[in-house]
Amino acid sequence: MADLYAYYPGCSLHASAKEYDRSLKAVFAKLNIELEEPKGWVCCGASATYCIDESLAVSLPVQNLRSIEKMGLGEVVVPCAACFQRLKTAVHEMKESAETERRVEQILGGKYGYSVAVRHPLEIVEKLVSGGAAKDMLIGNLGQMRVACYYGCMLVRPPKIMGFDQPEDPLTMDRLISAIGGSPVQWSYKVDCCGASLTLNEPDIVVKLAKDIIEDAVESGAEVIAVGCQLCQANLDMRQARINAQYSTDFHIPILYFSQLLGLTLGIGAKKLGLRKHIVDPMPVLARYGLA
Amino acid sequence: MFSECCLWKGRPMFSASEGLNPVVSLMPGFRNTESRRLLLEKGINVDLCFQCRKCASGCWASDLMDLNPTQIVHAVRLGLDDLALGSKSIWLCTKCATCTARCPQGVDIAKVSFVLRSLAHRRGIPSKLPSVTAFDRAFARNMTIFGRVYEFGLINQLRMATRNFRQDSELAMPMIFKGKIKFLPSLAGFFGMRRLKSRAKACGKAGERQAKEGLDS
Ligand code: SF4
Ligand code: SF4
Repeated sequence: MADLYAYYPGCSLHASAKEYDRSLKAVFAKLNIELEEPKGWVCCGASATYCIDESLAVSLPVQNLRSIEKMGLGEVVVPCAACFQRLKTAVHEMKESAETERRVEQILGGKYGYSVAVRHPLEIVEKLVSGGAAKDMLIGNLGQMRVACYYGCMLVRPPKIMGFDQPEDPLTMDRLISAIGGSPVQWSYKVDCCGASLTLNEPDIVVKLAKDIIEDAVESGAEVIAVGCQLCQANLDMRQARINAQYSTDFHIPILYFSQLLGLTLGIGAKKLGLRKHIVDPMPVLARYGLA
Repeated sequence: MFSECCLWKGRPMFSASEGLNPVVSLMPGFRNTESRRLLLEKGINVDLCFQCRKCASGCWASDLMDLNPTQIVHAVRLGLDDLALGSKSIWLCTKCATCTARCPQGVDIAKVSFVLRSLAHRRGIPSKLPSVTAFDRAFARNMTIFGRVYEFGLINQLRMATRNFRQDSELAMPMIFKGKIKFLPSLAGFFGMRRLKSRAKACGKAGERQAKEGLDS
């Protein structure tokens, strides 16, 4: 029987990051895992709402977790790193403070039983693929393509709450990439901040941060940067033109989701993986490795 | 020496509002300010900080900030709320939590910045980085109206708020061309959000009433 997980995509996976959503769904279907979206889920509030209305910001993630609990599922896959962090933090805050718990229960009009584990898809597919369970499903490999695995902030920090890998040098994505035949490069910016939502209001700052990250990846020999967060993807991908103009560089490095790279080795087509939706066209690099 | 200290700059040694001996009134814990109280409620004890400056050295924004994370923590410690709340730093912080992850004393500095930022919002303190302040507001509004973030609307809200209509116009065409912009909002979370919002409002009012009654009695 196929495994069944609840799936909380978050707002941007239904809008600007559709290719992340699509490629993940295709990969999970190939790996024989079913995903079920809770009906009528609401935005997790992100960190901005927390600064405006704290009680509401803690209630939103818990509301979603409650509806998953009602579906009878014990695990939820959360691909958006920002949602992943908000969901985990909200649960942590409820557990830490009885006062917060009381307030949230009052707003939600009921209790939450803490029975839903919040998981990032990276953890799930990495276990399957490098554990060998998905061995016969891999029909291709990355042919030693040099990949810089970029984790960003929200997957790993704050470590006490996230509990995801080692906070300063996470290796989950590196292991996944090696397992599908890529060669992860050693580099120093894998957990640095890309500026996140500052991109909408202080683009100059994000351009500088993204430049540092891309520069280090390129200098370390990477041909592709793999990410697990749509904010990182957007910032690194969309800002390259401006980086090149502002810093007289010549970067054209594709920023791909780990799910897209995995999908390629599972034999899923470029269109289904949304590979044509990126601003920096990944096709030339992929063609060099016979993947497109 | 004191006059050199950044927290000291521009502060009179003697003033009616700050008491006769500011040195005493600046002892950690002497002033029980709101930010201090809020942080303690959340289990964050800034007095644990021993000024190692690891948080400041790891923060990507330190060199753009007027007070670096260590100084922010210290300002809260000394009860200089106005300084911390009026700083540019709390708006620059992206909550990347590098500081929190590295603090040897277990001070959750990212959360300190969170709490200060909410307090600044609540008090309506003039922000040194209005575009970020506008973003927080626009995001929360957008999300509570639609139930799920309506990105296209959010971008336009921001443009209205900051009156900067040309920002990132070079990205518009590629984004439309690549189908990255969804022009219509999704309303699937609309009713769920409306329910929560009204309940949160009702609870908030009840809480305020209780607090008031508590004060009156
Ligand atoms: S890292 Fe912690 S102990 Fe060190 S200065 Fe920052 S808050 Fe203080
Ligand atoms: S959370 Fe804020 S203060 Fe801490 S390192 Fe990141 S940007 Fe700097």
